[in-house]
Amino acid sequence: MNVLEIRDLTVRIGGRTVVDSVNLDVGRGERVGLLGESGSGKSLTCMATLGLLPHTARATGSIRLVGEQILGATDRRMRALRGGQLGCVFQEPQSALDPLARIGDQLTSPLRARARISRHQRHELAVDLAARVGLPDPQHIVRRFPHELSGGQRQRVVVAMATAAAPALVLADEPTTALDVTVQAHILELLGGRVTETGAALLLVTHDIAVAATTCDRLVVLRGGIVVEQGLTGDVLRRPAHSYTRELVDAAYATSYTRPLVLETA
Amino acid sequence: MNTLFAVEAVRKRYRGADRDALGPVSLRVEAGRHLAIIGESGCGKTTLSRIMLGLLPASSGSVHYRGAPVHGLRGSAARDLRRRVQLVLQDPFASLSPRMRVGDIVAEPLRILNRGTPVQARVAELLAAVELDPAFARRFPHELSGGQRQRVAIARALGPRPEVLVADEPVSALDVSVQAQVLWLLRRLAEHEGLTLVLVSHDLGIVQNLCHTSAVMHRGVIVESGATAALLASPQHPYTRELLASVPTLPQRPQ
Repeated sequence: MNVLEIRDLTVRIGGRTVVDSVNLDVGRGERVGLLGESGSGKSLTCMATLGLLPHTARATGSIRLVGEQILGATDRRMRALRGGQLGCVFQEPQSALDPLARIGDQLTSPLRARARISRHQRHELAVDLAARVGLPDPQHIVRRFPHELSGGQRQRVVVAMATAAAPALVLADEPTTALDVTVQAHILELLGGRVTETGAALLLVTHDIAVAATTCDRLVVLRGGIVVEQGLTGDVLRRPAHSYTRELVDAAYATSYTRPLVLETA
Repeated sequence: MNTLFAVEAVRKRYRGADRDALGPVSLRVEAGRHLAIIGESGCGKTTLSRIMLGLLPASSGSVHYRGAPVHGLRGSAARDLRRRVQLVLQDPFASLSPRMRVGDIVAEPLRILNRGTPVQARVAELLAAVELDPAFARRFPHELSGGQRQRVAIARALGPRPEVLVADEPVSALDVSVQAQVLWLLRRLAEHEGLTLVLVSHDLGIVQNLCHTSAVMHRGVIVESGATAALLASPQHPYTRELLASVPTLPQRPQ
């Protein structure tokens, strides 16, 4: 069974259709890239799945998460799903974290929402999670506050939280766009590693074809709210069927760094 | 060779900081070449470009343009440097005055720096050069897309017929398909006008497509520099290697 099934999702904001009859499946453990430029509706598709659409938006269609209809689910239900079955990572880790809560408390919050955990266990769990996502000096970093961490470290915390409760699906909306390229590489590796470890599927929302290509099995290309093409990553890049995809792939090849064929080792 | 910029042992420490943000850095920009200054956030690349433009004082060291120091210039000498060296910034939403029409934005440096130029004709010529319809002269920046705004910023910079264009992350804020167009435009204009280009960027794809030579900055200093192709093919410094290994790449395209 697919962990995510979106059928005929249409989102209207103020009379404008911003997501138009989108169909999208994510299989168990699969990594899917939702690709589009600004205004393509990729983030709104993601927000609809998280139950976080702005109040002015009207969504119709169907979104099933592990079989359960979640479009129109109550806020209470969605809160239970987010951080549980549904992990989320956003672009800006600074605003995703509570500035007044210690890293350790935030790391364990998805677990504490689901089970009673003693104070002592909490510390152990936090240190363990911090170590799993490669945070330096886990014993001490759990006592720190978000502003004391670098952008990359903060995104590690967010990735740890998104995967702490063994979710079925992790939704990552431009998770590395705000980061430097060397940090981006580490975070993508971490995100890929964590979803593999926990068996989660990944829906990666991005404008960056190279990021999607290095991370995802399958690509879904969105333009003006419409899915113009989807397919296996290699197929989409090698044989784009839609003219827009071709344009996008050509532009990506024209602006992307291509690794020289022979890398000399000194 | 004809050296335009000569940067000698420049250092910068911002007030209240306990270490140098930059330096010591030395580099030369030769006429007609395209130089990339590559680095990640906080590496000092923007500080270096500001100091080269004379917009920020160095804590020590010197910058000369065609043999004359760029700092402490006044009057006609300062105007002359402004005319010869123009700047394009990352965010065309922030760099264009929201209250001015495109025509006035492009005309402004002409009126100040190239007195006596027939402004209207030149504005039309510049808009055409960046492939914008002359009718855009009547519009305001908010009516334009990001790519169109960046074209306006480029037209404005080209107005005074500069020798050097300093571009600080000129396409980073744009969508991929627009990036490709603006990049192509920059390359064509640079060739056509015989411009010297100083590109400040974190994006190796852009650098690879635009610049002959590159300097890689890390923690305020240049760790490696040389011909772009050679530098990308056989990076010597560990940081350059890490940087190159980090860039997500597309699979080799079948020919």
